[in-house]
Amino acid sequence: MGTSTKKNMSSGSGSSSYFLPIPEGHWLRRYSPPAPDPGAETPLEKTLADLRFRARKVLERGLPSVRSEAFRYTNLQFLLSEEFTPDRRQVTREEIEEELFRDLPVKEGEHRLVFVNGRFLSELSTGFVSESGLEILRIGGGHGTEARREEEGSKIAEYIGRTTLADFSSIAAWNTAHLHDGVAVFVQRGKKISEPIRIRHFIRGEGNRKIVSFPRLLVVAEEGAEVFVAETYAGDSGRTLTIPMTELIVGRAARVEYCRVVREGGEGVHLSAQEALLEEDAVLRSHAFHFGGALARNDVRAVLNGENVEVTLNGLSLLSGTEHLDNHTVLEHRRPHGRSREIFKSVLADHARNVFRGLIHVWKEAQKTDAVQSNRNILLSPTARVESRPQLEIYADDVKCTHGATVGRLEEEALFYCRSRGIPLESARVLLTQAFAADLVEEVAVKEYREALAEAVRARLERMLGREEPR
Amino acid sequence: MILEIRNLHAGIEGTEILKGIDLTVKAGEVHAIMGPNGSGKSTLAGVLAGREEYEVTEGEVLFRGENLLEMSPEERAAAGVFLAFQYPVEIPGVNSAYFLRTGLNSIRKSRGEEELDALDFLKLAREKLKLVQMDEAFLKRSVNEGFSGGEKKRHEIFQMAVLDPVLGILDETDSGLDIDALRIVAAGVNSLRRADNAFLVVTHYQRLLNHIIPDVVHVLLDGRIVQSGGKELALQLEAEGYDRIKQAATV
Repeated sequence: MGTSTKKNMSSGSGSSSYFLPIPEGHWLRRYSPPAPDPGAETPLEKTLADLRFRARKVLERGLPSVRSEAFRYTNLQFLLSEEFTPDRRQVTREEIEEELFRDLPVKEGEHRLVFVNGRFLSELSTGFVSESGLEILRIGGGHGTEARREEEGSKIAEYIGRTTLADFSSIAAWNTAHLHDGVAVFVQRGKKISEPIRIRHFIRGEGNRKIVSFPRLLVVAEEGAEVFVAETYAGDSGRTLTIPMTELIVGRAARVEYCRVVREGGEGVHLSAQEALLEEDAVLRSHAFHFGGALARNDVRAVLNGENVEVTLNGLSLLSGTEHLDNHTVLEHRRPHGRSREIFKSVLADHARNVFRGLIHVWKEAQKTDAVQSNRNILLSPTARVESRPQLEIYADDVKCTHGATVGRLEEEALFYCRSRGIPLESARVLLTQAFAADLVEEVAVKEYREALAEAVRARLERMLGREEPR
Repeated sequence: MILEIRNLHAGIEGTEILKGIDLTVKAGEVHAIMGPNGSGKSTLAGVLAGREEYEVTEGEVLFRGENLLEMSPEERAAAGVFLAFQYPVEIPGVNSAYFLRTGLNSIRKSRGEEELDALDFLKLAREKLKLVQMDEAFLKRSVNEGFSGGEKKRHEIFQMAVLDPVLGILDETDSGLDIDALRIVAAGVNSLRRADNAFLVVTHYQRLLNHIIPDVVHVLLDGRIVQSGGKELALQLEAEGYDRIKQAATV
């Protein structure tokens, strides 16, 4: 009894400083549909209504302040004073076509779904798919007959929100509170899908209006299934806010490769949640490339929920100007014989700032866990900053967990070596930073994407380094 | 005249290492710079290649009549200076072919020559790899990463062959080589000798000079050239060690 009173008191008094209240009527709490749907009838409607209800409860708690440990380095207070609204316009193909395929080219045979400010653009998409083996469905209402829609809805209802388990992270809650549209990918038992599935988001402001969107992606690979999914976010001009959530559900002995490329506009804010849940013998390979945006925060979690699971969690970020990126990663080893490899690298120019927190949480049952974490950073300017916070929480006694973090400049000796072979200083710096990034690009399985990413890395590094004062 | 060094003084962080070097290298010549550890051999090689940690306090260096000391390392490479490193640097993530092609094309571009495409470069590289008996597979490997000591040194000579310098500087290229690798390296260098280029071979030991026969041997001691002579001087040093010269120099 005494304990519970104490607990209530501490959480009660603490909440006021760790969270900033979000007033009722604030855009973050202006919901559509406004209230838990009393008219929800289908299983999907019921599930979504329930999820939204729970998520909205989290928002009532408020916005995490910099006093909360998780947001210590990333101040989100501007969300309270700035007004963001969803885009209601219908964008046409002509407006965006040129920009659309800049980061990743079109690959023959790929499945492609294009969204503009969170709104589906069918003209540039290859369309939703409803075949045996592979289904690519729209969360916010499908197509075909009513019976078919209801069947698809039930399937989505079965899985959506599953990765959040008992708790919502703040960002997951914000996305879920506004959840009404998105993409769901289902790969049937034993099916190996060779064509990549590509979800392409295009984000841009609309004059003085600040635009917010809440994209959602659900990927379900059933037992023994294999699939490659790429999600790209390309920003343009104007103040924008993107709050996406991606759920990856990897069944027994299934294999999912997920590649995400974020290049927000100069005023773009990106707050994402990526949650993965893996069953026995499953494999997840996740690659995150961050090529810009005013402020970004990624909450990434993988739960190794079965024995003998293998997770690769890679991240590469190239930051310049006053860009700020905060990667918050959690690897939750719950069962024995799990292997995780986490490599996050960043290259920072100017006044850029990179925050990395990597928690490896090994449950008591998760014996023989083998976890390796590495965070490496290269500073191209004395005013760039890095915060690196590896965290191990280990409750099993027979595990192998290593972590390492480095922050440094380009090696003078390597630069001199390049220059002595005739490579000019600026090119030598691009070459060496490119080399630093190369292994993470190399790990992407699709050749066309890998080549495009290598080129995107090179181009961005050239811009970042070209601006610098020669020494 | 390829290289003229006049009264060169240089040091690092206020400590003088080279205390007045005079050296003239003509086209077609191979000069050996010998000396004990700490005599300033590598400093001389580094100053000539443009290592920025060294400060030149006095004197001048002319490379084909141009002021070498005013040039950046990449400008020196473009002008035709090549340094084979004592400790070649590993660059994970950059393959040897890409690295060297970037260097070669930067040099060609600065000379107003057409750049080589991947195919033409490969042709050239294949031909030069043969000189040092290296397999083509090395082109695809990250620069020096996981190379043995001998492979690194052969890789240096291979790069020199591709860039075809006017002045090749070999900084302790023989260190850490077994006799077979030493022979291969020396044969590679010998095949590059021509009437219009020159080599500066910096070494502690005489054994490399059995294979690369120098025209002139200089003995460097405490930052000064204390003795110069023909190839027999190297043999004499090998037999007597540096001590006798040290004594002679201090008397």
